[in-house]
Amino acid sequence: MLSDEHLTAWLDGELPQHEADLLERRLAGDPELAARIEALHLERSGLVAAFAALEPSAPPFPQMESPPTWRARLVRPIAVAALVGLAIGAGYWLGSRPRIDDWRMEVAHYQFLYVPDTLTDLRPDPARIKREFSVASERLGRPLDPDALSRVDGLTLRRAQVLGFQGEPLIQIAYTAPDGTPIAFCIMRNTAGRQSAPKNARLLGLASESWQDAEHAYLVIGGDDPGRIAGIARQIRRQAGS
Amino acid sequence: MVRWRNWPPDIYNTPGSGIIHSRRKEIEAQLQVLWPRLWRFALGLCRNRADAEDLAQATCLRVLENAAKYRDGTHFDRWVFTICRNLWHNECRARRLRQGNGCNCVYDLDLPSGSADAEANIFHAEVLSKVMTLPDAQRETLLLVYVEGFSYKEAAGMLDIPVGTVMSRLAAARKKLACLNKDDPAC
Repeated sequence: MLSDEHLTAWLDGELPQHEADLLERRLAGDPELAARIEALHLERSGLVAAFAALEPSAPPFPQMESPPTWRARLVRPIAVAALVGLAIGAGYWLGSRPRIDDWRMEVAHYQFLYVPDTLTDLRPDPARIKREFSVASERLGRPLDPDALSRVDGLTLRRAQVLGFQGEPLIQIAYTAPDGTPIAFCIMRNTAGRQSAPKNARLLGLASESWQDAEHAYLVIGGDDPGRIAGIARQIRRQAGS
Repeated sequence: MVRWRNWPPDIYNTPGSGIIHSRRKEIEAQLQVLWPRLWRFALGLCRNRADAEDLAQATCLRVLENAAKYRDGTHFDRWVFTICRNLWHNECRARRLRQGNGCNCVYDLDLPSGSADAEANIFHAEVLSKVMTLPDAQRETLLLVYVEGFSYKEAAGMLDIPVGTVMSRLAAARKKLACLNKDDPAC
C-alpha cells in the first residue's frame, strides 16, 4: 500500500527515478490509485501566481541607518556635495547611453522563467550550434568559439541566440547543468567602456557573476549556488579568453 | 498590536556590533533584492499585514546583526527565511505566555485592487484564503516548498525536521486544499 506521503513525493518530482517508474506502471492499471492522486491534486502554479501577485503590495524596503561615527559625521557633508555633483554629471551621461548594469537585471528576469524542461529537449546539434555562433559572433563583433565554449565542465551547451537590449545585441549562450539547472552565459558590447573585475550578485534569487573588459560585458547566471557559478565563470573566462 | 522593536534599529551604538561596513552594505543589498519574497513569506506565516511587516523588518535586523556570520557560497535566501521563521516561532511562544492565545490571529489580508485583471484578483484571493486556513506547520512547509520552490531536503533543513515530516505535512496540506477546492462542506 502506497502512502499519501509517497504519492505526494511523486507529484512533487521528489521520488527517486526507479520508484517513480514503479509507481507510474502501477498507476496505469489502478483506478483507485488514480483517485487517491486526484484527492491530492494541487495547482502549484496557481499558488505561485497568487503569492507573486502579493509582491507589488509589499511595503517599501526599510531604510537602514548609516553608522553615526565621528568619521561619518565629518565625511558626510563632503560626500553629499560630491554625490550631488556626481548625480548631475551622471544624469547627462546616463541620458545619452544605455546603462550597462540594467541589462543584468533584464537577463535575470528572463532567466528566472527558465526551468529544466526549457532546454533539456533541445538536442545539442553541432552544425546548428556552429551556425548560431557565427551569427552571434558577427552581431557582437567578437569571435565566439563554440568548441572552446562547449568545454565547460559538466555543462551541456544547448543554444546560442541573439537577443537585444536597448538596441544593442545581447548574446545568450544557454547551458544545462547535470541536474537540469539552466545556466546562461550572456555577452553585450560594453558601451560604457568601464572595466570591472568579476563580482557575484544574487539577482532575483539567481546566483550570478559579471565582469567587463574594455570591449564587452559578461554575465553568467543560473541556479542558486554562487560557488558553482563562480567555477563556471572562471572556466568560461579561460575558454573565451575574456 | 505589539511592536517587537523600534525601527530603524540603532545597531551601531550597541556593543559588539563591529561589522565591517562594506560587508554590511553587501548583505543589505542582498536583503533588498530578497525583500518582496521575504515579506510575502512573513505574510504567509503571520496571516496579517501588520505582523508581517514587523516580522520582515525584524528579520532584516537580525540578519544584519549576524552579517559577520554569513559565509559566501551558503544560500542567502535559506538563511534569511530560516531566521524569519524562527523569529516568528519565538514571537508566538512569547505571545502565548503573555496572552495565552499564541498567534491565532484573524486572517486579514486585503489584496491589492489596483491590478487590471479583476478575475485574476478574485482567483488569487481565493487561493490565498484557502492556504491561510491550513494549520501553521502545514502552511509554513507549503510556503517553503510550493511557493518558494525549496526542495524537501532544503525545507527539512530550514524547519529542522526530518524529510518524512515535510512529506506528511505536504500530503496533509494537499488533501485539505483539494477538498476545499471541491467546496465539500465536510472539509
